Amino acid sequence: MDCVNIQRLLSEYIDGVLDAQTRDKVEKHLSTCERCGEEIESLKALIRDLETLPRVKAPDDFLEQLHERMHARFDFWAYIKGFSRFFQMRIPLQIAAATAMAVLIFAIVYSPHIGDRITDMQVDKVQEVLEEQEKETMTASAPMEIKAEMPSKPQAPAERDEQMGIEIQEVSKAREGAAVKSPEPALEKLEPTLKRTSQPPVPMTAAVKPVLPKSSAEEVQRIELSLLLKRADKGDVRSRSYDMEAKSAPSVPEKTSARSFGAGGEEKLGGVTLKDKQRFDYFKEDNAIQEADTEGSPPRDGSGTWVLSPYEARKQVESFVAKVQGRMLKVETKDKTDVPVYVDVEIPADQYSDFYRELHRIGTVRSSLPAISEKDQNPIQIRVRFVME
Amino acid sequence: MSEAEKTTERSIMEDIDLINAFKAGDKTAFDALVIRHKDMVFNLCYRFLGDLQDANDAAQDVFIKAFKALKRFRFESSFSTWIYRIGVNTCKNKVKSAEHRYREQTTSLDNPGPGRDGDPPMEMADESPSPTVALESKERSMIIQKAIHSLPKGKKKMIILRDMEGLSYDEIMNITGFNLGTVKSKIARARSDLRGMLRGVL
Repeated sequence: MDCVNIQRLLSEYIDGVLDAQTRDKVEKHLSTCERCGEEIESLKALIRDLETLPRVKAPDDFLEQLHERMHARFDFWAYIKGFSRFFQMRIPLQIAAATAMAVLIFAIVYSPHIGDRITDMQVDKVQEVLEEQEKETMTASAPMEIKAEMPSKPQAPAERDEQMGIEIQEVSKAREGAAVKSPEPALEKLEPTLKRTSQPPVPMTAAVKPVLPKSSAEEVQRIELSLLLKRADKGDVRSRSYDMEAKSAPSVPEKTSARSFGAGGEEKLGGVTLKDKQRFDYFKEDNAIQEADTEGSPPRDGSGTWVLSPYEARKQVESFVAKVQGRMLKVETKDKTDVPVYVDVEIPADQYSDFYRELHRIGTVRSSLPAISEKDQNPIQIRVRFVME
Repeated sequence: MSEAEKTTERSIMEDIDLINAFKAGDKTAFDALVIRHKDMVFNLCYRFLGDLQDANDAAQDVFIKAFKALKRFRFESSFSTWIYRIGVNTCKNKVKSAEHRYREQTTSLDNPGPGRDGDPPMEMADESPSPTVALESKERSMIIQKAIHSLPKGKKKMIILRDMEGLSYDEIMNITGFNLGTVKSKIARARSDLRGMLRGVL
């Protein structure tokens, strides 16, 4: 056996793990080979050095340190395990599925995001109706005026305000140029009544700079609502007057006309004229009937459906405005008729929710309800646009 | 049976009794096991890691693992072999960690410096008879330690278990899971490499 092979066995030879035959061979070689003898001596010295390397001892407080660490660790894991037991409970699959479904339905129904989408869809529908109505109006009036009055798409509040401002300026110019038709007789009758309110008088059909002045933009909140009115059936007299549109003057029910616009005393009652008070009383009765209708009593008109024309709807709005000591700012009518397209009103902010409820009695408010702080002392301006179904 | 073997045998039996007591619910039996083996485990960890603070942390980790696993101990080896195995694996993982690698690069064996968190450095017991001999011995030890640390992990493990801890080939087989031939050849190669590194230095 040569030196290389012998030197490979020296480690095992030192440790005494060679078999007897191999050990003899190694011993025989070592007795004759000086180089391998040096090799084994250096290896033995190394092993001796390694064996005699100083040993280190654990610190005296090793056990205490260990206890501290174990307590901290096992307390933590005990807490985690206790908590995880809750999740290890076996819940029947049906119950789990039913719970998950309930949570899902709740999330869908009460998700404000989804609610917004539904409202947006409603607004889009109303907008379609508005556009159709707009087309009808365009056939009878100057294109420039209509373009200014009717925004083609729903707009953000700021945008809408700006648009309204433009609209008013346009209408104002048109009025100056005698482009806008003079008000119908019924509206002229209304004007004296409005003049007696506590607010400065505003002509009903005037293009109305005070309505949306830029300077008061921060103070007055403006809202635009669309009020969807049901189309009248053929048998209904009031609605037929609307359907006839520009062909003839609308036939207003006598009773209403007399009560609303008849001449009489002008005694003021806390900002509300006696006339207004009377009109309010009238509409209070009327509203009471309407409320009864909504609660399930049969409809009153001849066709079997409760119908209110834009003209009557406008009067209802006027009455409410008078009731809350607000003021009418503008009534925009269709060309050559007194059929109102929209009315601008100003009411105290704290009357907003009542006003909104009032509109619901008249028709269906299809615009989303803007958030209004009723504590706000500033008045709010609302444009109620009448939309025929 | 030699006296040393008898002592070892007695020690093994005592360990078995303590383990059985622990399994029966006597938690203090584990404390007794810790006290009996803490120096051996601590030393093993120090050999692997070369840092007293790291060795202390690792040794505690070893006993925590042992505490959790002791109920499943099946007496297929001695407790000391079992805990050596845990120690070797724990240190192997510690060495792997990036933190330790960083510390290894920046800590000098000549001047270990303060421990973690500003603790004073742990000192090894100095039992040398004279300052001169002590200095020579200490220097020699440092050089050897440094050389061991520069060995590849597998070879380092063999040197520590066989030559520094004095374990038998059987025990090493038990701890590492290698067969006898592999253990023999690995020990031989590790020694050869270490001697080559120290040749001309010592």
